[in-house]
Amino acid sequence: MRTTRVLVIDDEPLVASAARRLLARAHEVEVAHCGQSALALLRARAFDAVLCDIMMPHMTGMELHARLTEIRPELASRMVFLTGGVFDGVAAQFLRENARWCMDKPFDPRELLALVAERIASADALAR
Amino acid sequence: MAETPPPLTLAVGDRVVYPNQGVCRVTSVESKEVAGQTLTFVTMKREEDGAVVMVPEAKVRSIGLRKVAGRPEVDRVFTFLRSDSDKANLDWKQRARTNVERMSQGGLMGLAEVVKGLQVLSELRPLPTKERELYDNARHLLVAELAASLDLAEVDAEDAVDVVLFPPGRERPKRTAEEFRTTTGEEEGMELGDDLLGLGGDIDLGAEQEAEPEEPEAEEAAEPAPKGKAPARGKPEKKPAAEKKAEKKAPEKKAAKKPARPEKKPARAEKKAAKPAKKTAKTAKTAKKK
Repeated sequence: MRTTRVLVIDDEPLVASAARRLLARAHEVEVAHCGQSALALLRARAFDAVLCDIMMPHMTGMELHARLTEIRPELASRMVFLTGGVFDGVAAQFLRENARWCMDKPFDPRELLALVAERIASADALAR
Repeated sequence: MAETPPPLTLAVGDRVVYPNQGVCRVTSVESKEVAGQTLTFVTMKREEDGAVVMVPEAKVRSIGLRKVAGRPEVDRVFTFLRSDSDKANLDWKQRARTNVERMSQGGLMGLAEVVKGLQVLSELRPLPTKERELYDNARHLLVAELAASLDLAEVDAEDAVDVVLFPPGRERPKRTAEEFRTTTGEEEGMELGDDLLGLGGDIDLGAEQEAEPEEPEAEEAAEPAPKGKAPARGKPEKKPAAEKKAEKKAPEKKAAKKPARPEKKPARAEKKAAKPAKKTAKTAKTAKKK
């Protein structure tokens, strides 16, 4: 079985670290703490899934998704979103549209592992 | 604003202000162990609409979360709003940057500075759409926090703000662009006619910095200054007593108002449209005096 690679993006180091440890049980994991450094990694390497916080300063998870849709659409369809809830209507709409691939914080470890695995399988099936 | 704030300890029931979002109440502070790591999350419910967010405890300071302002700060804010000493910043880039910082990190006084700064600017000319929205948002957040801090109904807090911003029976000082001019050479010239931003007609300003969109002259005439509060996030508009009085005095204003703005047009077309609109606003002011 091939090694799958996941990028974790969260500006909160403790959350990113917890997600990294958890996902490292099943995947090779890299971590970015902001959208810009994530974009640099995503341009440079291939990833099977991207676990991304929605509310981050400078570039939100929604903005990163929009950017990836433009430059790497195949990666945009591999994103899983972490959210602690949102206040504004645009973000709420985004969460509704992507509800299938959203996970509430604080995440349940088994559910998160299952969701990331499902996202990879679903994107791989589409790519074939 | 550059000072390092003290650590913020939150407990269930605390009323806090989430920058740009409003007054919230802490509903839980919970820890959970994930992959050997203890994560503590603070859950807050926005008082205005009940929207719930959960923020990692370690992040509350970086997002600018703070306790609702206390009485001493409220007093300082009212003193500031009452004063005539402030000046409009004519450099739109600097103004936008400063206002973003004030909204996110400036506390209650930051909100008051945005409201007052844009109010003063609106006495020179009508605000562009984005700044009008910013004014409405800042004013809404300011009123909500004052109401929370003083334990008042929002409508009463709004009246209190109106009374200090527009004291009854007292004329606001006449503003001129010269009065606010600095020596940086970057400021936005009011004397530049069609080019409201003073940047030349061929520059693509982008959506963020567009000049006032073309509007029917009647509307410009009706809204020379952003006195009223626009409904924020779908909230119904509440009219303060001061505004209601003003409408009684000038009923033609009410008739000219309309709920939605026309679609944005390219910057160049907007600029051409701005001049007659300004003239109309001035004409309306003159008519009102008569």
